[in-house]
Amino acid sequence: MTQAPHVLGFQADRQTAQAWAFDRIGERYDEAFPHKDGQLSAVRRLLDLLPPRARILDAGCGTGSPTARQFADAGHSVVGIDISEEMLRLARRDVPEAEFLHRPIEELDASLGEFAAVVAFFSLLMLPRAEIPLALKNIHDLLEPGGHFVLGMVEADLDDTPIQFLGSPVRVSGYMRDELVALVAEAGFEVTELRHLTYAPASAELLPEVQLFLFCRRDGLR
Amino acid sequence: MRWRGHGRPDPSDVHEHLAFLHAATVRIGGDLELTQVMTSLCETAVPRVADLAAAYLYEVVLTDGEPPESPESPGAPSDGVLRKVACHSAPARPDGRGGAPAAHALVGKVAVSELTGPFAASVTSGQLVVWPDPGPDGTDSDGRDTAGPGRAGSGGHDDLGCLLPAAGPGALIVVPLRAGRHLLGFAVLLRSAGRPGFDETDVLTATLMADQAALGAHKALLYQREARVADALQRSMLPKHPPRLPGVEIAYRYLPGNPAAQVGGDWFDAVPLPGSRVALIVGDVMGHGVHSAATMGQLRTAVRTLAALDPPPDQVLRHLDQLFEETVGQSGEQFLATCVYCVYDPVARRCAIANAGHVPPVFAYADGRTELVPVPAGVPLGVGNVAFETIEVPAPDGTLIALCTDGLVETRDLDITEGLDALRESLTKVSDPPDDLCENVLRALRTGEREDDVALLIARFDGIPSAGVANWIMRPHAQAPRHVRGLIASTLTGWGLEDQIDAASLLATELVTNAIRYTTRPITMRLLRTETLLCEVTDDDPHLPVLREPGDDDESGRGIYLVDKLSSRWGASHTAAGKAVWFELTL
Repeated sequence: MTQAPHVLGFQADRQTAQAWAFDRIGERYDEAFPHKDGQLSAVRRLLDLLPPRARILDAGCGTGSPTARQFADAGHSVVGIDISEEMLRLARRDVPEAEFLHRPIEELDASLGEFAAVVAFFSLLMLPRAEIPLALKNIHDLLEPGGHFVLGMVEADLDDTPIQFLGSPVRVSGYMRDELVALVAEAGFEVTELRHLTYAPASAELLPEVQLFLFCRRDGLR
Repeated sequence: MRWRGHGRPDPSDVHEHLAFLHAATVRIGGDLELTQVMTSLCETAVPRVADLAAAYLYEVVLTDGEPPESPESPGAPSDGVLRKVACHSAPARPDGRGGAPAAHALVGKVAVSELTGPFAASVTSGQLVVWPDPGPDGTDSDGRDTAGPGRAGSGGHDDLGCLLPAAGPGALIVVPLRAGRHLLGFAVLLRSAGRPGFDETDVLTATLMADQAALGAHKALLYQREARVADALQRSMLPKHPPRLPGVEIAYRYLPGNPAAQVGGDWFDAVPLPGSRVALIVGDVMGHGVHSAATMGQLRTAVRTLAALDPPPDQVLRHLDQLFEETVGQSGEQFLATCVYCVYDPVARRCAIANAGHVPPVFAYADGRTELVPVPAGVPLGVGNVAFETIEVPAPDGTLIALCTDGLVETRDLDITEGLDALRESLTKVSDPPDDLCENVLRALRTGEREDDVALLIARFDGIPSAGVANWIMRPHAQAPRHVRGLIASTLTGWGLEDQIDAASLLATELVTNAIRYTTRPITMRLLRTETLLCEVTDDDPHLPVLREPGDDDESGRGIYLVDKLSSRWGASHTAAGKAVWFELTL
């Protein structure tokens, strides 16, 4: 077991703490969130829009299931990034045909190349609100003109709020749907569709949540 | 003791008589139930002592269980009613002569004031009365032998009073049934005409047997009284009607044990929890009687209080174990209790279960499969210092859970494995209402013949579709009420409940405004659509709202008043982190 960083101490490094939490959670994540119906159908909708063998970025890929798997199965070239080595280990094991990198979302840059589509399912919520606009702009800049972005978030009004998640302390942020749509538009995206649904995790430790899926496009101009 | 007849008694006769008396007293004293004691008295007296024996008890003894006291006067109370509670007669002799009057010929009930003859004499004196009076010289039976039938219908018959049938006896003893200061009734012993009358040995034997029966009856009354108190206590502390909750249908039954074995400390409960979940509990305090029932009451209250704080099931049991040690253990008596604690979440469709040495829960699935839920057995409460474990199991829609006590599945003829098998077999009609299923189970497991008490709880998990649930967590800042109104408007529009938006927004705003006033941690709001619309707001401030009529100048206190006026129901409860306040609107 990895040592807990100084989560509560003044030296606490936010990112290390978040990574540590997800290292601990590991495979329990998929046990607690089976049947990701909303996420699966969002990816299916995106697959219809993509050309063959497109380059896809899965930002906050977790265990690679089900999203990196879905894209790989459809013949696309997937790059997954995450902050948890344990999650990346599981992803490399389960989706060997994809490429997985240890990289925080807030440090995305042009070195990764250009993508036809980026998905970020329940990963931006790990950032403080203050860092989310920059992360959205980075994603925007990684997309080729006309590229697609699908964002999955939990509807909530939180800002870097500490909560217990599957027995580990994590800090999360969230927006009400109208705020989120406005925020994504400010980053330069056109929001084409908003879906919402209630998802009940298969764990007595977790509350049911309202999931928001935003379908967005980067404009066609450079 | 003077033996009738010539010279010294034959030692083998004495031995034989003592053996009879021993057997009779053991039999009479061995019963703990009032009429059974009297039946034993009558059956042992016939034919050895009499051809017919009957026991009459004061009605007040039977109805109130309280024997009349007669400390001052030696006689019995002159009022009241005597009722025949037991009677036994020998069959007629082969030659057709004699035989006792049929038992049913005796009067079943008589007012003391109407008695005449030897019965009246016994009542007046409070003493044993023999008829015909053997006389001071100890007239032997031969002298009366011809008198019996010959005098039937004469003045002698009138002496028997209204109690006895016309075909009068040859001889009669009326003996009071007295235990200390308590006169319970009388025993009547008859010999038919043609049989020698009662001699001194017979009188002593009758006295001894009657005293034994009276003591036994008095003991039975005390037991009955304790059993009644314990039963009343037990019942007063058990829930009456199961709560009606969305996504789950609950039924339960409690059957007291054999009255002689007395009630035990079985209990069950269903406690609604925040988030539309419910805690289902069945437990059993080991031992019987008032103490067990009282301990059960303490435990049930403790479980309800703990349940409302909503810790995981293993923690509930751990706290309970501690409480048990600190409170019940202090009484100096060694008490143990077993308990299974199950929380069902109709939205997640899961159960979290922990066990403290109790019979494991049985699941019956919609496809007819049944299984014992593999929750670690744990140890009984009161053992102390042993960890409990919570397991989480899926509870797909249509699943039944049956929780019971060992009284249902374990008896002298049935080991617990067979009992649980029988329980599983009786749960195959999973679509029946739980109330009918309870009846089926009790019938199938023949609970009428049980010694121990039985508690049974059956619930069907119907689930609440996710489409009818929405849950948000939000910071307690000034925008929260505005967010809440937006969420209610969009959610209720999606549910086709536009006409409820105004009322729900108004009341939810009140709850949220109240919540953000004191709390610093995020609050949650949940909307739940079933037959009603439920809105629940939780926060980390433990102070529950109090309903009061706001005065004209009051700035605050109107919120909960409004909720009370406009909702169909509302409530507030403590949670581990603070409180939950909810209201319901009828659709």
